[in-house]
Parts: sequence; structure tokens; C-alpha cells
Amino acid sequence: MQNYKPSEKSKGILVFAFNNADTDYIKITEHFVRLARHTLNLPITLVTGQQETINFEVDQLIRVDTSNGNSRKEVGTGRRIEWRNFGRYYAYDLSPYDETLVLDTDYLVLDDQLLTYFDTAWDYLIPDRNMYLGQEATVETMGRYSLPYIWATNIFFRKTPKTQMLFELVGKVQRNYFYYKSLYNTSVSNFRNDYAFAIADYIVNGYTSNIRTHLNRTLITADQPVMSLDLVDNMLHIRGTETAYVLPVLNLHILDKRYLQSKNFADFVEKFCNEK
Amino acid sequence: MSDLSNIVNQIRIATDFHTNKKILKERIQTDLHMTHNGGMFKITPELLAFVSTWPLETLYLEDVYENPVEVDRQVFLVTAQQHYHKVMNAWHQDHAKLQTIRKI
Repeated sequence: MQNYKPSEKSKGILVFAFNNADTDYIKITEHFVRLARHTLNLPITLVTGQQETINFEVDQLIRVDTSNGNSRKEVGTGRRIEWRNFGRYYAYDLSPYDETLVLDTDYLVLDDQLLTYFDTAWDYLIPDRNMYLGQEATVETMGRYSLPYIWATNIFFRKTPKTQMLFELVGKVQRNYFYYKSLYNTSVSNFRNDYAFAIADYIVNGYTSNIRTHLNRTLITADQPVMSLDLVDNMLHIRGTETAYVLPVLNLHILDKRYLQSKNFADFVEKFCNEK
Repeated sequence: MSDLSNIVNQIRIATDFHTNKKILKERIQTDLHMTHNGGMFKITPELLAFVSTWPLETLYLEDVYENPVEVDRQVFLVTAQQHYHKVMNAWHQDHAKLQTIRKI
């Protein structure tokens, strides 16, 4: 059952950022906040750790205790690096908004199309299709003999009983991940938010995949190292190590964290906010 | 600089029209969606033709999330036509730009 009511509800963005030994996520978040505020004009709440220094303005700052670590492969080098993916399932409780957009800090908000989703009927929406630059858009599975997964890179949710159930289930999956990764035959052994949300979404919808919970927007992901990003003649120019892309101005998921901490990216953000 | 290095550098700044075209199309497919009366609709030529020929002024359309949404035919048609025209025009313009770009 949908719980949408066209009333005056608070809307905002919730973002999680925790520094680690390899990546200055707070620096990336500073750029993210600038782009998101410029493009969507929504209040932003940042969830971070106790030690992180925040030198930029956010509407609300929530500090949490993070002790659990994880690891993932770094784009470009392939080496294993620390990754502190604090329980995203806390987003439901931590969000001060009635309607929340949870975004990854490596998701560049360059167009305002996300705002249209606030005007439609849903409990939560999560993208299920992804397109890596240079490849076809696909729905990927958690393993060769597993179910399709969804991308927790951006999540819309309203505070409804169904959404609460989803987040509680995500928490349950995360706390019992060894069990669930075996049950769902996942190919990746370490914890992934995408998988946890996919499993919870599947369960909440009565062990079915439900298009009503899927964002009808393909996530565009740059999974290769990025050398530069530029705005030329209202088109986005992305130069990788092996090829280059020219895209319309659209929201872009960039996995190369080293680029997102670079001077070139800071210059791009400055230019984008001044010209768009 | 050696010939090989030159070739490598040339490849790095080369961009493929068909790849860019595909990504542009993905963006346009998203942009063709429009919200109306709490529903999310993908505006297609078929939907426009259907609504324009419907004989009654109020009708119920199924949105992309499988919800039936009540719409005023005239209001929806005008809004959808404007939206469709705006998005297709942007697609045409961006497509034309892409055709001229081979290197960045």
C-alpha cells in the first residue's frame, strides 16, 4: 500500500561520510554538498564519525560511533583498502526529514531530475539498473545463481511502516551477513549495502522483485580511473586513462576516489556551480 | 615523443560517438518521465496519441509504478506535449553536438 499524501512534508538529503586511512571522504563530501545544494536546493544532513573535522556548512551534523571496518578494492590500483560503511540502515532513524534522499558522496548531483520523484507515490525507491560508461545498461545479479541487486547509491524513502520494515531488515541482513550471503549465493564475500538492500527489498515485497520500489532511472557509473572532468558547451567531458566520453549533463556515479579528491575535480565543481 | 606514445595519447583523448549516443539516450529515456497528479508517466508517442483521441474529458491512466491515476485529458495532454517536445528537442540538440565531437 502506498502512503503518499500531498502535504507539506520536510524533504532533504542524508549523506554518510567517514574518513579512513586511504580516502578523505570528508573532502569528497564537501564537493558533493556543494553540487547537491546547487542543483537540488534541499537541506543536507551529514552523518559522520567522532573524529572527522567538518569545515563546510551542512544543515545538520550527526556524529556517530563507528568501530566496524570493511575493505574493498580501490579503482585504478586494485589494492585492498579500508572502507567504513557504517550501517546505512540507521538512515531511517537518523533522517530528520519526512522524505529523504540518501546519496553516496561519490554520486555527483549534476541534474535536478531526482526532484521529480518527490511528487510521486512510493514508500521507497532504489535504482535497479546501472550503466557503466562504455557498456550496456543492465540489471546485475548478486552472483551467478543469485537474484538481481539494486544500487544503494541513491535511495528515496518516506517514513512509512513499509520503509521502516525495509531498513530494519537491512540491519538484520548486515548483522547476519554470513548467513544471508550463503543463502543468496552472493559472489562477493565482503558486505555490500547494495546486496543488503536487494535482499531486504526482496523479502519486504513478499519474496518477489517489485518494480514499484525501483527507480526508473538508470544509474550511470564511471568505474574506470578518471583523469579529468570538464563542462564544455553544456556537455560533460570525461577523460579516462584509455578513452574519453562526452555526456549530457547528468548525475554521475564516480568510483575513482582519488580523482574525487583531486584539484581537477575541485576546479570542476567550482566551474559547474558558477556556470550552470 | 615516440610514435607509440603519440598513438596512446591520441587514443586517450578520442571519444566514441556510439558510446556517447547510448549514454545520451539513457538520459533522455529518464527525462521523458513526467509527474502528474501523483503519478509518474513516461511520455511516449503512443501515450500522446491515446490521450489525444480519448473521447471523455476525464480518464484513468496507469503510471510506470502500476498505479491508476485520474487525469484531466486536456490538462494532461498539453503538459505531456510540452514535456515531450522539450525533451526531444534537447535530445536533438545534444545528439547534433555529439556528432561533431571525435576528440576532447
